[in-house]
Amino acid sequence: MDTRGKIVTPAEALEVIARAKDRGASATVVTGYFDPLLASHARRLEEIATRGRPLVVMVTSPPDPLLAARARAELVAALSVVDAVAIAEGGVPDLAGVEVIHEEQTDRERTRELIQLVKSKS
Amino acid sequence: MRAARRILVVRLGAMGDIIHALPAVASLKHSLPEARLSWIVESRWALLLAGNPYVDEVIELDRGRLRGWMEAARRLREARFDLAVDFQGLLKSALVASAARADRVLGFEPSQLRERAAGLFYSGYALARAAHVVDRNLELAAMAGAHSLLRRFPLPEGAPEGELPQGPFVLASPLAGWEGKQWPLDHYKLLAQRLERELGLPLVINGPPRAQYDLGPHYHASSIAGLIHATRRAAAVVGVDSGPLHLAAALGKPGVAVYGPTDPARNGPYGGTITVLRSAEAATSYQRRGRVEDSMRRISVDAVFEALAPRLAGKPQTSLCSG
Repeated sequence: MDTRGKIVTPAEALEVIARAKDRGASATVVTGYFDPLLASHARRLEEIATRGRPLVVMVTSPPDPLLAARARAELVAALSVVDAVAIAEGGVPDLAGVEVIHEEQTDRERTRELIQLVKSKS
Repeated sequence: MRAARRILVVRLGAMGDIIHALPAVASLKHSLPEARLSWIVESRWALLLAGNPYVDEVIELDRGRLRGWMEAARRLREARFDLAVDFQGLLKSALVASAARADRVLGFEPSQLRERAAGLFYSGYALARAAHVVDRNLELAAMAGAHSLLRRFPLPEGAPEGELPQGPFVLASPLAGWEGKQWPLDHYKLLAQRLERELGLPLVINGPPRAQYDLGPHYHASSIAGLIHATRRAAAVVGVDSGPLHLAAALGKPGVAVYGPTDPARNGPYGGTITVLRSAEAATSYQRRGRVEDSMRRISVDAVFEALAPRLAGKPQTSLCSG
């Protein structure tokens, strides 16, 4: 199945969040680098996801990413638990009144560990 | 509920899916003749709606350009739709329906959507019970106010393009949206030889202008207009689950379709003029694999020829599936 249709613009992601709010099902927003997507991301997003509440992911970029933002967004969109993905290169828009979970700090750790692992194998 | 006066239909693409929405849209307009009906569609498919007597206005969406999107959004807002019907069920189509700011936005039940979040944009849902996409679309149209259902596929005449044989020919359209749905390309060459030898009929292979394949001497590269014209002229068609096959089915052409990963009950050629061959071992997956599926390979050239020959002689269809 083609899941790239879940990738929307930041403005459209805000529409999704606003609609969910109108429905009384406040969206959960996760921001992070996902550089690259790892099993630990999938587990974390499963944990965060709440039934009946849309999960919207904003893909942000570290200073020197391994993968292009579009590639990272496509990987995140492939997770069935994720409802919509936006590439927020210019920073995450203002999301007052919405629960936002920032994964960037953990993502820096994840990428660092991955690079170490690859180096130890080569 | 007040009858809608301005209706927006959202089905942006692709060819087969647009064709499968034609009866639903015809039913809507037929039931609500006073309403002005607009259909928003991606520019590349707009020709399929040319001259459609049930569509008052075609709004083209050029998705490749931001300006195209802004222009379409402006037209949607200005039109003041009171009803939008999203036949596509994706986040992008629901966002388009939502941009129209209609009083009511109808779509399929969220559990039946490929992208759940699309359901956030609907004010009402249709729970489809039918198997085939054409009938499911009719169910959504009925929910939107179509009280009499038309199983009609209004399509333009098309226009001649490129070289076609003077006399009768069989038309094949081997390319599909993803390779997993295709029948091996070399099989068409063998089928062409048998058709020529035993029935004296050339097999014309149609594809888009830029296809880079060696598809034999009768390769007919065309736009949609050329494809429609060639399909109307063809004695019969051979195809797979892709737009050109659904076009042929909508035009009532006889023929043979080879199916594998997709389910003919849901996405088969509509109307019963085209015989479906599907391996008994084919598993329905809808996974967009980038190579021809084994279940497609299992359908032999001879099986297709044997199913096709009686159709060319005008004999009635006897079976729908073969092992």
